[in-house]
Amino acid sequence: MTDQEASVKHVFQTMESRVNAEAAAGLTASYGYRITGENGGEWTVTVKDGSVKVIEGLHDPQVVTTASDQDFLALNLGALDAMTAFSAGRIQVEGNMNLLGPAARLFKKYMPPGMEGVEEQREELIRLNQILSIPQTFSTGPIMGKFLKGLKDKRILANVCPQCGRYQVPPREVCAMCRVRVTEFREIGPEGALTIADIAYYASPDPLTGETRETPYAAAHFMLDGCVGGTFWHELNPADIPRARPGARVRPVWAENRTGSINDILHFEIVD
Amino acid sequence: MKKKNRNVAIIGVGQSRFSSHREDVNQPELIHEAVTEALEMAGLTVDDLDCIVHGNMELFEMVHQPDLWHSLGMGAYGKEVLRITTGGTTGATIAAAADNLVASGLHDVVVAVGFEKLQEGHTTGGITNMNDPLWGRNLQTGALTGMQAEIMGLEFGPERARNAVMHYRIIMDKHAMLNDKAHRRLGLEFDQIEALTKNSPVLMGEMRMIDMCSQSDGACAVIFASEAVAKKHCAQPAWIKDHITVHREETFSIDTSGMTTQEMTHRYAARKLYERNGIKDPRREIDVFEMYDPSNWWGTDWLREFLLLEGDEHLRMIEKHEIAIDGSFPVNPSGGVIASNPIGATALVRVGEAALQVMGKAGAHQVPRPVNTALASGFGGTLWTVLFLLTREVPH
Repeated sequence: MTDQEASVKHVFQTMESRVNAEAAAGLTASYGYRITGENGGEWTVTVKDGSVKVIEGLHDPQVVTTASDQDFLALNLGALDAMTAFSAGRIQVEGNMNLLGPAARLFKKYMPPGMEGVEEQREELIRLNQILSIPQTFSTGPIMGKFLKGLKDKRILANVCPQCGRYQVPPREVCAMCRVRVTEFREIGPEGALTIADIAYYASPDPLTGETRETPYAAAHFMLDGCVGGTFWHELNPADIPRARPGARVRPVWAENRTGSINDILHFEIVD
Repeated sequence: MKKKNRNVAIIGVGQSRFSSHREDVNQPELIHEAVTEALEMAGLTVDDLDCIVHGNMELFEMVHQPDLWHSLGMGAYGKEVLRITTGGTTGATIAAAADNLVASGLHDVVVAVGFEKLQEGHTTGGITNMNDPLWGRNLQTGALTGMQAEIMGLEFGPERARNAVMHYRIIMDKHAMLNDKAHRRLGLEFDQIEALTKNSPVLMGEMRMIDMCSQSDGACAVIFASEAVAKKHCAQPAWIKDHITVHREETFSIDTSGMTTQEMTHRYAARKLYERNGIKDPRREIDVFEMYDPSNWWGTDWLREFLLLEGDEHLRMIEKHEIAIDGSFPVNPSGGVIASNPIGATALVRVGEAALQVMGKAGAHQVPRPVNTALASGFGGTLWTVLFLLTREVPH
């Protein structure tokens, strides 16, 4: 028998006792909660040096989540799915949304008063976390290899189809349109014009390092001077994103130390 | 029409409940849910299965050869099993393989099993690893792209484009509300368009969270049977009239820049499929279309490609709600990919849902008119299209 029911207040009251140490380790962030309705309130959850503090009120949080008292309680009881609620506009988020990802497993499941022990007894789910690190080496082959070597010398090389005259960059063994072997190389650019940019506001983890990239960043296509038919796929300087428009003149920014890889060009910047 | 050795029909379709996290089951158990339901619908038992074709996204759950682990969940013990994976189109490719296996005469009953348990893996990491390790991998941003929104904004004006795709989005959600199995059923209304757009965080360019499909856990099983078996066990099978596969890896980076002059794979596939099946007016001759639509931007644009339209005809279809379940050209009465996306199963669900429509077994989301011809598409990887044509009548 319990004389208390599950409530928004109880969710926050029990947070510090429900912390998952592994999720808190290495995380430094502050989360604000604005819960509307009769049973709502405002709270700030601060994570630092492996410890979590919950205090009432909003104290300069880096990200604020707003939800009704009913929805917030339903979320914590597992009766409402966060992504669904978010997409339907029932949860709003302001500030650095990217901080929410690392906090997903910050707390053990909320249990209503009197049921705290039950979950521990019942919970037989075993979760295995693994971080995989796989060293890899790829051969470039002579075509891509010639192109990558060219980057070391600040040269951008394309190859030209003998049949349709289309340039491919990075060069490929055969022309993608005509399916004939391509052997002639020509230098293009290094300057050119922006064709189209894909601006990322949502951080995707870098597949090669596992790190979350800083946003916004922009993968973009550039039509380099002298090139016919094929665009060059690389990145636009994030600082130039506000000025990005089709046709803007660009030039590559070369890395100091060039090793013959895509990173020999840091990005393209807009030329005034 | 393509010459086929013998006719094949779908006689059973099973789907697990799609959700963001099915923590209550492991992978074999999840698959078992779908296989059981398919067998029940077909009136068959596990012993009647001759062969299983299994598929999901390569290494998305970081389990190599998961078909082995799933043996008991899919009735594979002692049977021939093939595993095929073609990215997002996997589900449709395994359907094509199952059809080919039964048509060949090698097997009488083949079940295609597609699944994904995205909560146990890493989607973006998986997709990004698809690209050329020497160049593209550093640039690809997973499955997210704002390019389609950008291109459509340039062609039709950003306001009209955004309005059309929001209508598409809400129609899809209304369909999902009719489908018990759907993962995301948000209860959206058309008067929310402005608020939804404004409050939805931007992901890439003008592509916002509200535009994108979900990441779901789920499994789907579809049973393909020979004409003899189908006629014996099923009152109204869904006959496989034809299917086609088209892809363009070699021009992938050109296509994403919008620089290609090549016909888009969807349009090429549709054109070829209609030609060889004598379809002159797809908008009128096809009764329902389960389209693989990873976002409302793509769903909208691809309507033009699949129906071989020009100009803004596709926008007008959407603006007039012709694609609604009771409209003149219903699209995704199941809610489509935006509502549920257990990737390895998703394309199979399109084929399965199209089959349910032909069989008259779609329940609350059954299209309210006779379904004689249904179309289903799969999409994925580097512009890979699979298109299926299903009919009520036995093909001859």
